[in-house]
Amino acid sequence: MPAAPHSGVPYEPEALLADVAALRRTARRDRHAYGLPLTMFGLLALASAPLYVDTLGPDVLRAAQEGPALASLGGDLLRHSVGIGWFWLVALIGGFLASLWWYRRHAVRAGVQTSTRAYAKVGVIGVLGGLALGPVLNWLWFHAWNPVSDVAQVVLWPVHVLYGMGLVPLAVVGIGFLVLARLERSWALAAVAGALLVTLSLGPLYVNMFFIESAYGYLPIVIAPGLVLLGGGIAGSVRQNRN
Amino acid sequence: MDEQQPAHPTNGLDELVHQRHRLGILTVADEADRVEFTYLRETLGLTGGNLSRHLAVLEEAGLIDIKKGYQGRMPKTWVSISDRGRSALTAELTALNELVQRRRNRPRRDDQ
Repeated sequence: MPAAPHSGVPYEPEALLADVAALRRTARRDRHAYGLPLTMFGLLALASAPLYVDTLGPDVLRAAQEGPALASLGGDLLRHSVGIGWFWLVALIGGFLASLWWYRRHAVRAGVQTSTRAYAKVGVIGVLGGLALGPVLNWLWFHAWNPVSDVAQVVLWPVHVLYGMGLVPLAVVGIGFLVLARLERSWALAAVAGALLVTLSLGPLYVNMFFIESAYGYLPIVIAPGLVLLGGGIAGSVRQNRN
Repeated sequence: MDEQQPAHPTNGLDELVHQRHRLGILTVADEADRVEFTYLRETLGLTGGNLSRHLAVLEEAGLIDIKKGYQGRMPKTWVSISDRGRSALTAELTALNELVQRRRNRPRRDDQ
């Protein structure tokens, strides 16, 4: 065990427990590798911003769009919903695979590995669930038995809003990071993931906050989460490099 | 021992796990999915031979699993804790904590 200052008497239970706690902290710090995945998804969110520019702007009544099933991650409200759907389908699959590769590479270099099986499951379930969400909501809204539909419209309204604006992929990213935070036992990562999900859920409130009734009215809903991820990623990378 | 008296916490200590380097190996392995031999050697400040002996003892007791392989041309030995090892570590830490608690609660001589 490392020669900790408090381990002067090696076989005292207090000293053993202190050494065990110090070892846990060291191993935990050494296996943390979340800086790069956070930065990558932050850059992807910012890169998707041009797709959220909508010439009609928010607050204009429009009919829901219908696109290919594989592009349904983009929702049905914005002008470029189909483009957003394709972008995030590729970005989510590529991003989760790149994160898994990064963790494996980090394990080989650092010598200590975090289990990423649960994170991979979130990726698979998130992509498939995100693709199924549109048709399920549509069925609940318009085709389910009336009482069920009424309840669904009240209970699932926030989900419907996020879906419509093409923000479900970022919610999948946030849930993925929450699971990763549990696997890494990292409060810092949990805080970034929580901040991302709060920023996302408040998105509908700050539509039009900075670009009033303009084509750029939807931009804050994707730029704000992107900056949260990027900021968390840079801070995490700096912290991990310092160690 | 009096039947009414609870067992002394030292009864919960397992010689195999209580040895400080083996306790260190189990602690690091419990923190990760798996951990590499070189990392353990450097983190615990042991020689390769010494670490190998401790790993052999723990593996023989079924507390860890060892997998050897190659990363490119580099031989790598990965260590992971087994369910039995996790239970043994938990029992050891519980016993140590109880010992510490007992010492804290013990009246000091000058108080008597």
